[in-house]
Amino acid sequence: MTDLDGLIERARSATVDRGAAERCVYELERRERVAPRPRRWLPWLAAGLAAAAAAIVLWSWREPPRPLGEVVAISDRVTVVADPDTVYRVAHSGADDTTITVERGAVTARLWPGAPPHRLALAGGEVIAVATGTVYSLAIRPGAVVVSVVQGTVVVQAGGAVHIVRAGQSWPPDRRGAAPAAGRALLALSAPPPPPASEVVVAPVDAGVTVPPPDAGEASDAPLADDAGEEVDAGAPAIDAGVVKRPARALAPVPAPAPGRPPVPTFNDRAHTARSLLGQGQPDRAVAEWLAIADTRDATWSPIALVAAAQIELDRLEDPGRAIELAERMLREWPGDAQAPEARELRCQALRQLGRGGECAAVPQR
Amino acid sequence: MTAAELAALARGAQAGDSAARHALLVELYGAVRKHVYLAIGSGAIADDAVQETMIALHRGLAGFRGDTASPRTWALAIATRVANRLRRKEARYQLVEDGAVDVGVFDLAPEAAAELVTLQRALASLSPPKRDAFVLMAIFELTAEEAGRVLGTFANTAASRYRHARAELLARFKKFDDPAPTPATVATEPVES
Repeated sequence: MTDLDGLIERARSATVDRGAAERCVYELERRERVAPRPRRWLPWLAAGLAAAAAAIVLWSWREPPRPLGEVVAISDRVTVVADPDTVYRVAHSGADDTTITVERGAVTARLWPGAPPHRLALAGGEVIAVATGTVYSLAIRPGAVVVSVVQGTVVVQAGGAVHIVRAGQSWPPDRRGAAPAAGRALLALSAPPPPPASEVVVAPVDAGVTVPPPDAGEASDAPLADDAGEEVDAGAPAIDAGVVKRPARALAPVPAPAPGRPPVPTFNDRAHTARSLLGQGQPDRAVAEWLAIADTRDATWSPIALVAAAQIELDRLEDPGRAIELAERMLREWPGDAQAPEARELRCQALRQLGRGGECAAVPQR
Repeated sequence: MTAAELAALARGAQAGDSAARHALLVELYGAVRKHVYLAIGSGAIADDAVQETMIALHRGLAGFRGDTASPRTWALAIATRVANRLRRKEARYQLVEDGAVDVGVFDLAPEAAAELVTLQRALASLSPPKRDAFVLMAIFELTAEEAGRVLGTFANTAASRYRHARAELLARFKKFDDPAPTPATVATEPVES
């Protein structure tokens, strides 16, 4: 009889060849030494690298915040802010006009309204941007000169052509202009800076320089800087060879209105009101406000107001006859104004709507 | 090697003693090889089962918890799972009935090897669940609870499978030992007229 228990006992006592066991274990240990350990950290490393790359890409897409230069009063009518590393030259600064030549970087300027009419020109490269009341900038960029208008309208003369650039626009379009913060800084000034002292104050724009108070004692001792042809380097020290430049006056805070006297709205405020009325769907009242501004006969604001009113009459009120009347009034009263080309264009548009395009060439006489 | 000695080797291996790990794996290799041979026979499938089991033991040694099972029980549990998986996967697995079972991996005298072949052929006639339970409880002397844990079932179920397997094996050997009566014997019986 086959003894099951005997077979079981035989199986229990059966031993495996020791050599086979050693070979198997040795092979396992050899594989462990040869084969690299599973790199469980690789997915985490890859994820980290991907996240870092995404962060870098996002960061590079952001326009880096550029430090803003100091607000500098060129005269009682012109205030500028230069981007860092900017070189500009005040080519001329007079009672009637100011010309600033930008050689490198970007300058944002604000022309304050007032009488007499003042012509502000920013020139750079082959471009001249002229305005009679606005906030705008001219930036020298690689391969192009960019004019950006923050407020108002600017006439850009480039290569023999004339371009009208309005608020919020740039010329050429889609190019990066001066730092937007500069325009905001100028717009934040609710009043023109105090009139300069007897001498023209042209200052180096260097945000790192502490500006002494306006009544600093050395003002009367230092020789005056020539107001024409003086170069200003925003990133350079204040003292230039051969020319002693006086630091800019720090713009004094706007004094609060005297108690009991209602503040007088500025032209800027009234223009803002007119734009607001138009935005609220009240073009009639907007035209009335613009005409009220025009009736002040302000050299800066009247031409702007007449052009704006004519634009509303033509586009919103669809009254080309009235638009022609306002455009011709502007051309009669302010023929040499920078807004004149735009007024002529508006007049021609209105004439064409009335089927009188042939009269476009005729210039209205005073 | 006793269970306590195996547990000590396991602790040493987990502490970073490479010699203890080597010795432990060599010891476990014997149990794994024997279990696989008795459960699914020999050949390529058995070699694959042993190889996979040893790799699993080698990699899983760091996570082995000696407080819940002995190293040998742990190794048998892994070997059982691997063998069952390969047995299901390899539909070509055939019960070995022709005596061509390779016992070369065992260190046995020829007579002992023949007896081991006899036992393996008898086990092959059992259903896999009964065979696994019988091998674990009869050959490796696991308790019903340990066998139940290895097989993933209740202790009573494991014990029941063991009893049925033993009964079937006894019946098989009894049939072989008691051949059917010959016709001559029948002819000698008196015939009532």
